[in-house]
Amino acid sequence: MRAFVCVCVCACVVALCGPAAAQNGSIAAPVAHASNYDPTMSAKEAVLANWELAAAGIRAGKVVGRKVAATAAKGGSYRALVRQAKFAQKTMVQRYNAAQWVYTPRSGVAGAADGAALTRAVAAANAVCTADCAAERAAILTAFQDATTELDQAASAARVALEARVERADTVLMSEQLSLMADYLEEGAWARDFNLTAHGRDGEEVAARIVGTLSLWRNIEPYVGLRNAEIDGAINAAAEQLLRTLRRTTRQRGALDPSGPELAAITAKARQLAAEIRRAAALFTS
Amino acid sequence: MCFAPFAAAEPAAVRQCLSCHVDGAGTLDIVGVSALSALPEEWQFLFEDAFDLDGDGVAGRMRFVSGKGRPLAAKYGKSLAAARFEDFALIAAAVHDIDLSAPGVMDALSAAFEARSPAPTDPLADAAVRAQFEARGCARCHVTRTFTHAGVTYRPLSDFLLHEMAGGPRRTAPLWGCPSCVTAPAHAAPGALPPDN
Repeated sequence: MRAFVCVCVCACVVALCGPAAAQNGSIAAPVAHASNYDPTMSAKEAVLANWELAAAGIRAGKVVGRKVAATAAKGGSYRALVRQAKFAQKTMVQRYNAAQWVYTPRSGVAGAADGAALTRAVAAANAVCTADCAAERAAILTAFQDATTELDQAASAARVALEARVERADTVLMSEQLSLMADYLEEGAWARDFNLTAHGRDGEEVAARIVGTLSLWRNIEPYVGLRNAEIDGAINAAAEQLLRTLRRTTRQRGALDPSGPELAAITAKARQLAAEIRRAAALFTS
Repeated sequence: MCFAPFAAAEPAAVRQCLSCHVDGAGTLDIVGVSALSALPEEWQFLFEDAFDLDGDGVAGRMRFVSGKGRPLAAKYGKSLAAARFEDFALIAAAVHDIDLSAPGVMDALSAAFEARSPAPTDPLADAAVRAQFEARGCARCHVTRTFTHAGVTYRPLSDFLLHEMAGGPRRTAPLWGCPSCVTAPAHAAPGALPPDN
């Protein structure tokens, strides 16, 4: 996987160049740019970027959903409305699922939404219209308004969680972030409570949830690499294995059998990755 | 050293910056400076597919950068080096050894660039051109979605994501205001992943 190889190389360079010492719970940032604005994130910013991915990602779903509701309320072409609704629900589903790691018990963030309204929005966007489409238009309006409210609550919960972490020590944040990732991958919440089984989109939900968790690694990897290059490499290798398995087992797949071979294969790889990530979390607790 | 004897009332540092960015008519070589600052916050989230899970052979990812204590989603620069015009200007100024630290200089620079930057135009206004553009696969990264700001609709033709290219990660170049770009021979596509990926 090219991207991970690149990140790995960068991390190794950083490990050679950057100061590895940490004092008073702070983590030294890699020194990569020499100018009076350095885009390199601090360790705290890197962790907060992951919370931002969750909060802003869900908010993006809310924004596009709200636009669909506004279009439905205005009238106009039903065909254009459905096209807009189908594009929007894709983003809404993807970002909502990508942020599910936020709700692992360790985070203390209560599940702000169960995805029921989002499911109704997906159904409304895919409804078949055979007459004047007034009822279908009204259904889209209601469903997307409700889904927008649901995503707004979820985004707000993630934002509150982000703000609560701003003053915490770098090492505490980094350890928690890695532990949250490991918990989510290991515990298997990503394979439960599907909202779109009736639409044949279990695979899409699984993929969004796991990739949403893997995406966190990109931001925090340099700081793990600074502490331990071997663990960094092991995580990259396990992540690549998980991604390969995920692609093979979820692409073009509809409903997934909870006890079937697809989820079993993903579970095995997810647990391997979780074990490596736990080793990384331990680097910031000693 | 570039040279452009104009804008004498502007700070010297601003004139230094402009000297390499404007033509003889005073037009900036960067399109849509104001419009880019108005890019909707959700834009990159609409298109991000960091690991090519949709299987179209293109992976695109966001980049977060430092925002003095808070992370920010980058949108400026070929490698997405900055989230704000001011930060990107500081990076460029450091490369060219220009000091922008004096009071008021950054505001003057921002105003100068906004004033001289051509407003974006839509290179895909012609339906046939757009159809060809999409058929060639360009729209997978140079997305055709629009946004509206202050009553004006913009089509940036960029997802503002990083893609793995032959020379390393690169932001999708916004093609607004560049009609020749949308009909030019296609550049190499972002690296497609092996079939089993």
